[in-house]
Amino acid sequence: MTDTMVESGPTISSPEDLASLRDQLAAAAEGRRRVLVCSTGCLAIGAREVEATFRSEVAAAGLIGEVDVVQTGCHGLCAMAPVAVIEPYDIVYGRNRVKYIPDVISQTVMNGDVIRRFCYGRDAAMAHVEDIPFYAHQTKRVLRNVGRVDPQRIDDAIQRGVYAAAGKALTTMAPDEIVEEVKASALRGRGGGGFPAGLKWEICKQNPGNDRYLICNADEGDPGAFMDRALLEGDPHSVLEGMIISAYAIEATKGFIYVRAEYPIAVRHIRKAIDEARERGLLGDNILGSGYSLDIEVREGAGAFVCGEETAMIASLEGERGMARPKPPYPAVRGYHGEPTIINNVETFANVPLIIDEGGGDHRLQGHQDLRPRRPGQQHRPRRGADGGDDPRHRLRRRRRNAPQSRVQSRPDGRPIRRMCARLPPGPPHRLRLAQGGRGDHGLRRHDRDGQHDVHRRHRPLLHRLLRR
Amino acid sequence: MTVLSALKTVNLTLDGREIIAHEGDTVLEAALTAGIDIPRLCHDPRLKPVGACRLCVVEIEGERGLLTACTMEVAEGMVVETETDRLAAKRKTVLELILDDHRVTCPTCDKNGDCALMDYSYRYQADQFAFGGYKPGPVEPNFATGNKAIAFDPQLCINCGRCVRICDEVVMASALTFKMRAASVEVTTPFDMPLNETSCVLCGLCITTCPTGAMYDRAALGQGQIKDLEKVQTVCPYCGVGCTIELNVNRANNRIVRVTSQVGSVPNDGNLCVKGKFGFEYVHSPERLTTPLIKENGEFREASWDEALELAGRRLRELRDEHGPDSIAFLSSCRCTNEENYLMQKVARTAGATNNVDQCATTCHAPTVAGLAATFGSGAMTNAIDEIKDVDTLFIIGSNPTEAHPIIGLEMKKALKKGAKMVVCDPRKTWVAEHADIHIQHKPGTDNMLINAMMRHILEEELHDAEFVEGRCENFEAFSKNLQDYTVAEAAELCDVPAELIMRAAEMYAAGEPSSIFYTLGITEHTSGTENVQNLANLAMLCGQIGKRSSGVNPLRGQNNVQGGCDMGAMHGDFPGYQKVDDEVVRFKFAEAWGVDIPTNKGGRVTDFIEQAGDGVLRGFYVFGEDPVLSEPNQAKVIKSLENLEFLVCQEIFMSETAKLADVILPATSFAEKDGTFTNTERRVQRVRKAVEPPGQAKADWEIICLMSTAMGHPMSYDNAGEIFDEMASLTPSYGGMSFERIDEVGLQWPCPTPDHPGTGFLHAGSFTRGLGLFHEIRFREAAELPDDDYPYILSTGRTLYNYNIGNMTQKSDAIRQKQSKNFVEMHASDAERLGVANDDLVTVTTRRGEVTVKAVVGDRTRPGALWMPFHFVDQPTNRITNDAFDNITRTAEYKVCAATVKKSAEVPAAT
Amino acid sequence: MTAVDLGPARAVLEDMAPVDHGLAIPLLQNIQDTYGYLPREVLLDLSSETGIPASHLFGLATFYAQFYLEEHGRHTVRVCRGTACHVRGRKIIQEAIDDELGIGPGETTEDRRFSLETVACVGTCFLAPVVMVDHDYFGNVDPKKVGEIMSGYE
Repeated sequence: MTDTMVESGPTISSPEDLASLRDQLAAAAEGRRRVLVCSTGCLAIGAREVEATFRSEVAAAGLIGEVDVVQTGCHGLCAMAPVAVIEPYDIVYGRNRVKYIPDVISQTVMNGDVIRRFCYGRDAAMAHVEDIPFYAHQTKRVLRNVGRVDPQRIDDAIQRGVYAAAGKALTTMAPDEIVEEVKASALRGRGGGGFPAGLKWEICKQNPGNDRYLICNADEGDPGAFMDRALLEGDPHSVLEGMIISAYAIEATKGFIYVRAEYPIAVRHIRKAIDEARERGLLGDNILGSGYSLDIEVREGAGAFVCGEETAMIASLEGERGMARPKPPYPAVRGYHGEPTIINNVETFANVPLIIDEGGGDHRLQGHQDLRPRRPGQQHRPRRGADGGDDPRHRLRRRRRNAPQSRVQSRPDGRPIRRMCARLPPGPPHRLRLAQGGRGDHGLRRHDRDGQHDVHRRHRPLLHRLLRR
Repeated sequence: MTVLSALKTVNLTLDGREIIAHEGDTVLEAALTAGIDIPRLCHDPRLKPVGACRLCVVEIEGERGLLTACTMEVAEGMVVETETDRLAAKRKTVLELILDDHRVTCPTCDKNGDCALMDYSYRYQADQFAFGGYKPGPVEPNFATGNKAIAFDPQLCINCGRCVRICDEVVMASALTFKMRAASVEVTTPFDMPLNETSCVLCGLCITTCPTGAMYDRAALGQGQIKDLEKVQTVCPYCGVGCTIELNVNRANNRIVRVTSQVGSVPNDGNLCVKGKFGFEYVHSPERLTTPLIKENGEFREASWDEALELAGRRLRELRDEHGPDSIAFLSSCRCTNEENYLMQKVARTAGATNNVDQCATTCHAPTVAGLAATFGSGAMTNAIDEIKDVDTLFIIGSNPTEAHPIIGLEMKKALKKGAKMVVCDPRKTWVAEHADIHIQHKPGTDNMLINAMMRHILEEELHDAEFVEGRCENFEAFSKNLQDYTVAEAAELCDVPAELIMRAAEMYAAGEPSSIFYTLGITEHTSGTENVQNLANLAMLCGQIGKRSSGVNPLRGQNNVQGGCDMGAMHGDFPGYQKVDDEVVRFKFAEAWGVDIPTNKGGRVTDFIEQAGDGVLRGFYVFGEDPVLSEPNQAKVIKSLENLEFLVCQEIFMSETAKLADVILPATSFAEKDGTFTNTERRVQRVRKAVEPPGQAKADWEIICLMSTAMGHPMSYDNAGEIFDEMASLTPSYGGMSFERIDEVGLQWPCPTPDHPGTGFLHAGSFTRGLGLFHEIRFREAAELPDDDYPYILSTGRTLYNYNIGNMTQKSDAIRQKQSKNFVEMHASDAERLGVANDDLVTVTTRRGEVTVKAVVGDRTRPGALWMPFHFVDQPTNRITNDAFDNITRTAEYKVCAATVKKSAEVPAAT
Repeated sequence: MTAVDLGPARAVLEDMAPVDHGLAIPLLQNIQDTYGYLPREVLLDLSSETGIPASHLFGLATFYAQFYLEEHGRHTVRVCRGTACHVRGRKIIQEAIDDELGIGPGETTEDRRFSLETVACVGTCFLAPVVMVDHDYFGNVDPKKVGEIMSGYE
């Protein structure tokens, strides 16, 4: 278990407190020089050293107080790992190497000069976030804070507006109003089932129980799916905020986050976030002075793929072998210890603050036009290349060469797959042979490529067949 | 349509039939109630449904896919199809998949013909080779290998989980579990430990719930498949719970092959304990007595019935005639039927012309009979067993139900699962104590101090039921004045328990909705036994926790028919139904019925008989199905007294320690070899049926008693046990409405005065049997023998789960002997450390009356300074050292407290 | 077999108190963090301390892949066998690691330095093939890098 010290800060006992703190923090951050080093996925390829070197070089240059080095979540361009973003210029550097860091500090951080070799496609014209097609074609919503905040500092989250929606919901809205907004948003479960979230909550509330429970399913384990990981690692406070609002809406007294143990960073960040939120009065008794109390407990999975299934997850939370139970009754009717229980996925909860901010109807409009009435919300979707080459002598090299494009991007639902894959960065010529979706997308063959990316549609489980062959 | 209770009902359509079901029922329950049999393998009505086998899938209109009937609740207007082509195809596939993982061994399997998997495979014509067929690997040893009770064949296991769940949910022994998952999943014990090293209680429920032959009775293997067996419904001969059992008899060799019990049976719902499941080898033991024996020159020789009866009858009659009614005595047996007990007291009072008749209640629950009769007007368990599960606060004192009354223990576990609170007062950490909300581990022999302090606290806090006290009781003022002499602080000191616990316990009991008291011999086997019982009655009356469902004062009776033995009047002062001998009217009634003058001598109790034998007052003694040498305290004195008798006749199934002293032994029958009735602890009169022929010349006990009566000069004969029962019922108002016909399937609880009376679940509703409940002023008195410098420990005795009383029945079972075959003493680790005693060391326990050398069981079950021993073993018998001090009213011995000392023995433990 | 010190287990219990049935899995996780595996003596002791049946703890310990009942290596090497890693040469990496450590998946080196396992997707597909050692990730692993990675762990 990794315990990081929780910094103490002022207790926040009302939405007004929260707003004034946010203003203070925003004012202080205005125009600051910051080096945002991805400290999640990129850790696998040297981000820790990169970040440490930035720190030591900043110190050596006597720039402490002028330049902040910040550990952040994923910037999305994982193929360029380790990635850092330099504020206030919004310059994106990938493939950072320790020995060049003094140059980056002196040239880019202090003066805004671009160093070509670290740029996207080694092209100086693609130095800035807004210049990179990969980002330009995205509309970051649930990912809006990922990569921009230090996930282990609640003040960063507050400064970016996290918890404001919770303040609004808990102090100005009745629980049923929230359920109505979520219904109006037509938000559907992002875990793969796609069941309308608001309807599920309503069913839960119709069932009498001694207690109600809220469970955040972060047992993401389908191959190729890692968006929950990006959220938990990069912006845990938004997930917590979504859970607080949801728990209030269904009048739950206790929440759980069930995270895979294979995501140690996510576990660490969410635990830290909970400790900080509790310390500051954003979790626990009488949240933001609303009179509503909630505690959230993190449980780590113990290595059972099946526990991503909701009834198996409940069994596991109850301390049982993670065996799925027959449905009905569904957990919303009889879940944790037989009480009405809501289980939603990480990303579903992350959508909830947006719905409160924008109103359910407006949120609904954020989906793709064609599918607006039925498929609202935004799918945050990992992409990576793959091929089926099987020449034993060269397979490793070929795989590397043919599949260089891995990243996390965020697009509205309903977008054709072809267009999602169209804006690939420079590299060897490629054609789409197979798309392995996250979640329940299964595989898409080339002739499916005009098919719409739709989390709720079941595609043929082609990939499994390909692999078996 | 059966009458539905006040529960909300739901209308649904099952296979085109309109059905009414209870809200909350599952589709499966509704179907079974309606007589529609949905196939199922993982379902047992005693267990929470899990929907694991998927055989019970049904089609429900408007639902996608097939749903498991065992987990789907009924809903208004639901339309269900339980048997369609689609379902049949699905079930066939499910069965074929199961068969692919099940070694088909039907020809050699015990379960052949009685196997759910076999039945359904036949019904749906499932092909065992549809998926290739089971390919058996090598047979590996498993957790049950070598266990003499339970055997397990994993190749037959279909992983339905019934054994694991019943062990966990019903028995709460949790000895079994699944290990691994998916295709590797397997039933086993923790770390694959041998069963007898786990928390297994050998109840065998894993066997009875198993839908295949995977779990089976080790000893029954090859002894008979269902086609070879006849199931005879009867009553378990062990403790007072009176479980309904089926003896599976193979007529070809006149043997009981195994014991089963049907789900739904009363009062045990198909549940059994180790004794009821595996304790029957004694019936066929080669040690059974098969012929009458007469002692000549100190040796027994075989004799004919005529010769033995003539001698026994003549000698008893001669002694009676020569020395008067107090010179002979009759000891009846609570192990035997009501009919036999009725006859025994009848013979005593007719042929014997004496009221010197008793039975073993004196050894155990006589204080209950006396104490509750004085308080309420009748001395029996006030409530029914099936009310226990609805108790809100269980108050258990001096009772170890999960070992001594395991099936009542299961009912208590049900209550706990429903959220009941539990207060346990016991010097020893029993299962219930460990699972209690409050465990008061008081010093043995301080019960009245404790109860008085609790009542004082209840009164001070005004937690009592003033209305109940006012309206239904008397003598409250004197009672409450007496309590002024007792305080919680004083009790805390004397009982050596935190005052806080005493107060919380009192509050918890007073607040229960409802609360019920359960006690056993920890209350009665004291020199203050009757007072202890009266004080518990005080507590119940004070809080108004009596006279309603699931609430009262509940003595758990120790022997299968100790309730019946008392009911039948095998006591010096009572005729059947507690009609008093000293009541002229009653005496006249019996004199009329029996055609004799009823003797007027006072008579005594078994403990009196033994003392009088020693004093030379008692000269002739007829002992029937009892072994006072082992069961009475201070064994050396008992033997000396009995040796002083001029004539001793024993009617026995084994050569007991007492029988060895006899002049004549009459070979008797076990419960499995005769007809009759037992009355269980909840006053339920149940049918005992003959299942096998007795060995050799052994005769049914009621026949022998008749022959003895005749031999004593008072001819007596009956055609069958039912005739005796009818005579008894005609003379016994509380049994008046019963007959063998009425109790054929399910027994009735007395009082049942008329043929149309449904029997009585709980007593004292509205008013007490005696009218007003009588408060007694109970003073605390110390036990007769307290620890001192020479004997610094307090020794208590009691029963274990695996053995029964003197052990002569249970110790014949290989399975039980394998688990527990030797006497032992439990001592606290701190004492053991000081004495240099390690677990399993031999120690010598000494009292003023003798010593025994037994194994030490070191731990924290007893209090420091306390010792505990079972009394089941002939070798190194515990009653060699217990104290022959008696209750002032009922002459029950103080088995629970005597002063003892213990030291490490020089003997080397025998290799095991 | 040498006796296992129950002290650390009792300390874990005290830290987590009160431990009921529902906390059985976190309890086992903490015990494994403490001992590196779940020693039998410890589980039996925990059972009597908490009242959670030993059968239950054993059932959990064998159901969840994370738990080990045998003494385990000081470091756990997990090779991802998720789809992305699979198509990008997980097998080659696996072979290289097998060679380096001289053990196969599910085994522990004789010096108890490493235990080797495979794991379903660790969610780092963009850096496939991925290897985890304890809580550290290594992306774009090359067979040549294996020795270097392993040398960082004693």
